[in-house]
Amino acid sequence: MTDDFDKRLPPDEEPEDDFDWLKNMPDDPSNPSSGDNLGFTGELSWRQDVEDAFDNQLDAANNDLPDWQRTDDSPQGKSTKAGGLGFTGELDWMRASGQSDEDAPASDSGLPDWLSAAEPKSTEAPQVPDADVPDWLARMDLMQTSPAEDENADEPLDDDPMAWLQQDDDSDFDDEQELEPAALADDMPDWMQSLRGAQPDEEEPQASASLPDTGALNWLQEYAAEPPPPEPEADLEPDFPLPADEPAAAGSDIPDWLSDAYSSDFASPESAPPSFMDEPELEDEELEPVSDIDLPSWLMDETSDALPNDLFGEFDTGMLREAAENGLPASPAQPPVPTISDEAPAAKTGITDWLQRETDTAFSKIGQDDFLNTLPDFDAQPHASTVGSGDQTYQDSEPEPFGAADGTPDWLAELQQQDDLTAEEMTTELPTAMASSPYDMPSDDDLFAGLGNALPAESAPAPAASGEFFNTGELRNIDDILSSYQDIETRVSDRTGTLMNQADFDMDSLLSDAELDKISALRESDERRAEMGELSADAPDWLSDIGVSVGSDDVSAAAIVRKQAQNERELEDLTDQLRALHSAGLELPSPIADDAPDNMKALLVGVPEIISPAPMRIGKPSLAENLVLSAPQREKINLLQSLVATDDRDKEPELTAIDVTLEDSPDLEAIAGEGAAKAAAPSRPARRSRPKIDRLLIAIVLAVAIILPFVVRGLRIGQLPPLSFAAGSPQAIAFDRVANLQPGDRVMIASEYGLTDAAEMDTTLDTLLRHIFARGARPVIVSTNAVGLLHAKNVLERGVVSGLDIKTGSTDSAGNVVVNPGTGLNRFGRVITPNVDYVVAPFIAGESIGLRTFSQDLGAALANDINGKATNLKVTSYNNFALIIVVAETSDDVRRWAEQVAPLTSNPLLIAVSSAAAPMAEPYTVSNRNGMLVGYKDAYTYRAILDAQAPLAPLAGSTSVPTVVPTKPPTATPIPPTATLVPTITMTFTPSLTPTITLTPSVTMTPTQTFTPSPTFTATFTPTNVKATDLPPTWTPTTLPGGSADIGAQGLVIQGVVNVSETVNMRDNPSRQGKVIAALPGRSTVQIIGRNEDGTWLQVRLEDKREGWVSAQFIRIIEPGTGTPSPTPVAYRVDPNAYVSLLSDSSYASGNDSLQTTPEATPEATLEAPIAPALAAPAAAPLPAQGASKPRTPYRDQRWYGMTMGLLAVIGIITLGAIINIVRGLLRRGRK
Amino acid sequence: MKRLGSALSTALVMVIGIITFLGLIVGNGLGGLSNVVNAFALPTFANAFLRLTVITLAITVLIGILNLLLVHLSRVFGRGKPFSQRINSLVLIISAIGVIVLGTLERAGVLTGSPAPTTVLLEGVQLSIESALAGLVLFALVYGAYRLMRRRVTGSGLLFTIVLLVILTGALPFTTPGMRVVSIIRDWLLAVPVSAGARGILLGIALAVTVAGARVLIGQDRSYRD
Repeated sequence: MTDDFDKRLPPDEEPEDDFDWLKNMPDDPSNPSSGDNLGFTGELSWRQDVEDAFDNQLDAANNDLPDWQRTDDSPQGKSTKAGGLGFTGELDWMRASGQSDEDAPASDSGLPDWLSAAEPKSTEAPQVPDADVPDWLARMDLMQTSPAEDENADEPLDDDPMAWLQQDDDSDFDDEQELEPAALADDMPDWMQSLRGAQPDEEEPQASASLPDTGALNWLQEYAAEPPPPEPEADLEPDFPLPADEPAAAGSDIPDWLSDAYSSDFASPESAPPSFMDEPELEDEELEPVSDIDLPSWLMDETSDALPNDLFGEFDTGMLREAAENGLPASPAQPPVPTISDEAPAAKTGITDWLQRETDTAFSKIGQDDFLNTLPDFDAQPHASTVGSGDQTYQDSEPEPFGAADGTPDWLAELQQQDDLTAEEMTTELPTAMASSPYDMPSDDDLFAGLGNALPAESAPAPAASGEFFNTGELRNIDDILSSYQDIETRVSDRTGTLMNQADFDMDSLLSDAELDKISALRESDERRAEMGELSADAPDWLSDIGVSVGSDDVSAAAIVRKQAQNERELEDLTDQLRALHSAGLELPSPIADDAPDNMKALLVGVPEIISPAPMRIGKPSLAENLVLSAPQREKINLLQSLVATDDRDKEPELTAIDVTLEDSPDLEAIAGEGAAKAAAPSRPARRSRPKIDRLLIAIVLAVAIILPFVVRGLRIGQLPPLSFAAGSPQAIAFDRVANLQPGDRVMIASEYGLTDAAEMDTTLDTLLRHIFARGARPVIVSTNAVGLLHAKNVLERGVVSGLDIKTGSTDSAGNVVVNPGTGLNRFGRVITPNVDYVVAPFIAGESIGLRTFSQDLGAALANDINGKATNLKVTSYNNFALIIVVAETSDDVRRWAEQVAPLTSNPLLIAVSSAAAPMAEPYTVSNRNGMLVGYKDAYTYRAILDAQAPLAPLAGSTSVPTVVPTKPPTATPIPPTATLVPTITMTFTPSLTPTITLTPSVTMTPTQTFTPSPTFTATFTPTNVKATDLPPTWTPTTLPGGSADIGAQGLVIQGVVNVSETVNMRDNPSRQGKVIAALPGRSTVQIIGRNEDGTWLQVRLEDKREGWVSAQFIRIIEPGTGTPSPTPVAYRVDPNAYVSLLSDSSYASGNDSLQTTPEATPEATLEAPIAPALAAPAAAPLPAQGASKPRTPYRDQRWYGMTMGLLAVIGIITLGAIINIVRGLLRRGRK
Repeated sequence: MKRLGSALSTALVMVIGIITFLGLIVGNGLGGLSNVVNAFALPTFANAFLRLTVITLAITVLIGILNLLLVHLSRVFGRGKPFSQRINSLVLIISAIGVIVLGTLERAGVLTGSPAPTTVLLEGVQLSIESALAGLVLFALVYGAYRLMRRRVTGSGLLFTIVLLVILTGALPFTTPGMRVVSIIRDWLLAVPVSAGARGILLGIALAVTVAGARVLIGQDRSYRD
């Protein structure tokens, strides 16, 4: 804003010093640029304008209208005024600018920069004002300029000379116009500005363009009867920029009166800076100059007899009469003139009322005894005189500048001294003059009363008596006057207010008398004078004191500050404290950051170089103590803080940017060496960190409870998990799903757990993979967890596969692979090969979306494995997988697969989750299609079932494997083949089968299909223990090896489960016509002892030894186990038909005491004891029974016992804590 | 321009979202609608968009790794960083680069042997550390439960403690009659209230996802511009 001011003038026309505007006053009244220097004329120039207007009226001989009415007929941009007539105020600056009217917009010509900055910048030509019209009056008029006026620019705008009055008092001034006073704040007399500012609800001034020429007072009455024409809101709406930051920017140079005002009001959002700081960038509507002097028409109507000579000084009242006679008679046909107010109709309101109201209100605002005494006498003689230095000669009809007076601003004092009439005289004579008017001039009482009525009640305090006002002869300091504005101009934005409130600019000290005296002393020095130029005595003292220029370009707040910066004293001239402040300021961050808002930069142009704007901060100014508080003050604050104890004291205050900055700021007192040491802030004693004994004890107890069961058998309390799943449970369903896999089936396993849950979930994954391989199925491992995928790959390859695979390290001389005891062959009969027997697919990125995309093209997604090798999988959909298993650690993983994959397949979805995820994952197992395994407990049970099962036969078509011989040579004391070895490898069915068969003639056992004890078993026997339908149709007890007639004696038990939930009939013969002898409950277990020829009926035995026939479709055969564990190790020659041994897991072999190396086996023994599938393995695979066999998983039981003990410890700790805390709470309550 | 960009992005999201939505939700059994959708090959477009999304997500993983390395490189070579930070960052960078190099060599067949070095690192180092850290959670949880009502005994705290104790006690593998009762209560709690709550949460999630998707499709939610 201020930069714009500076750019107004060409460089060659820049004032040489701060007071060029005084020197460049036009000498020739007819030439606005001739330098009619009238000095700092202050706010009362409008009165001179009135006189000027009358002058023009008299000069206009052939025109009925006075100049101010004819102004609009003149070309825009040109002033018809013949120059300054003396007390013209700011208009003199216009002349001093040296710009021709043609070169610049009319509104800009001659205006001081601070004023021109507020001029409209649009290209719309404003109405040309009379050059002598006070700007504040012009703006008052412009505020109500309507488009109609603009369109009719050629027509006289001021048909009604009372338009200006109308603007003030009679219009619909809606709330949106409440900023209008701010627009007038520049050159309007401050007391009037205060009036405006205090009247936010003042009615909107109305356009005067359409008003006819009036002059008689009856127009007022007519005006009162008819409302003014409405105006578009667009033209009335002011558009003010945000002036919030400007006062803050100028804060350091704000005089005392201003800082005083801010001290109490800046914190309020409604507070406003003084008008000069609140300089808005006015838009066209606000700044469009008035077309002419808005003189009250009643003045036009006044006759020479009626007009008081003493009111208008040297004006010949005859001209008023002439004007009234020629052009200002009232016309009944004229549009009504607005009333002054609703409460005061025009018929009852005279000019004296108006003046009375205006002045009374103004006085009530600014102090009755201050300001009015500074007013010049209206009857001041504008004779030519020379004042001051004599450089400026004042012409006739011009008011003279004023000399200084003690205790008063110079310009005001001089004004007072040169007035011929005192204020009191004026007020006393004014009614007389009015009373003599033949045009029913209202009395002064009416005039002022009407004025008072025009003001809103809330903004117009009780008007003081005019007599009292004028009788006050003492002029006070302008600071007092202006400081009285604080009640009125209190609108300051929040930001500015906060800034001013919290930033500790010690304005008083900066602008203290002592400091100002120093400045004055410097200014008075020759050098200073040469630098600053001659300082006019007209300038207010406070401006003079701070050494700023109020020239044509520097009147704004920023300009003042900038000037102050230019006039900075040397550091040596500053006091120690100021020097300290200066040095501290140099260390502050950049005033305006590059990324600061544009409006911040715009509003603070020029200012940041002087003042470092403190960062905005909301909240209490807690940093005050850091900067300006003295030691005693700080002590008092500390005392108060200690008395008013709050929680905030205990909190570490959060430092803002300014906090951080000021924390490092120097101690001014220490630098200055003046103050005492800082009062020590109350420091809290350092809190000793107590060792948390309870936490330590809890940790120890837990650790001990978990570890001890591994080493102390006595602490292995509790029961191990069950060895079988409850029938129909989700776990049993899951097991069945895997158990029903057929060789060659593909199973998709989603390994969706990371390493944190590996300890819990690895057992589950491992067990499932073993079972899948045991079934001859081929797993395909996928994952949306990259680490989980790698870990699953390791579990598969390093754990499961290596355990199941053939050891290929050594062969005997015959080329046979030597297999260590405890190992076995996999069911594939060969080395398990990646991408043949299993696949580890690439990582699936994108979680749900990735899974969705993965599902769209399974074939492509599974074309290559994790290593980029071809998988040769021929899959097109999820239906190509017989089973999908999700091993997850969170329910989200389960949900992802249930949502994205499960709907795309008709096959079941098996879920294996951690214990923590089970509750949330459980809803997805609502269907019996989906089995569910939870945590380590189910994995334990699952594994126990697997361990209890007999090894399965190798798959049909499996590649041959070499014969396996014991790896260790016979020892020195070989144990000959024992008798126990033979029975274990022979199959003997129970004799009970025979009678049963004989009872059913349908079963025909042919000799050709009988078993023989021949050592060469055929593969046709192998599938018999897999499914009921696979049972050999020719089981005969006579062919059982070993000659045993009782299968039970051989330890072989074939069991089956009723695979429906309903009861199943057991009949006495294998047909539906058989008699029902029992009803088997759903999921019940029976022993299978035979079958019919076509395998559609199974002969079963109940626990009560009853036997009967059940339809095979309702029975699922459980893979056989044995009830008689054999401590004898197995060593045998393996042929392609050998069963896979799930017990040969090398990873668990170390803990398997029952499977010791059997070097005692001899070749003869192996030859004589051929492997008898389903009979040999059961001998080495005892049925897990509680305490009957040792666990095959290392520390499997210990882990369980450790968990049990840990659980007990957790329960105890939590219970103890709850009891202690409850007791403490009760005791605490009891004490209260 | 900013407003134009906003409008464009919103329009783009809406169009792609609707295409994807129709392409995925409209099957072949909706008669005319299915014909229209298939005529415009919307399912193909939908799948293409999904693939683009997955590719983008995969790239973000790569970008994340690179960014992590850059951050730690800056900490190693940056000014004013404490020595401990430099060491930590250096170890991280070396570990990352080492694993990348080892994996590459393994894949290329340069490094052979069993077990593979990367497997040793994963199973021997990372698995052990992560499992140990997971185990430490037990201590924190137990200590938190121990101090649950230290400050104040509230009804909710008391209820929480009781339920917690019932659940834990019911999990004990004891077969005494009293424990069986507790076990039954535990099973009931898990089967009824917990399961009901879990399903409620899942329903809420589903509804929220549906609403959020609908808001994006109609342009009411522009969270993607954040």
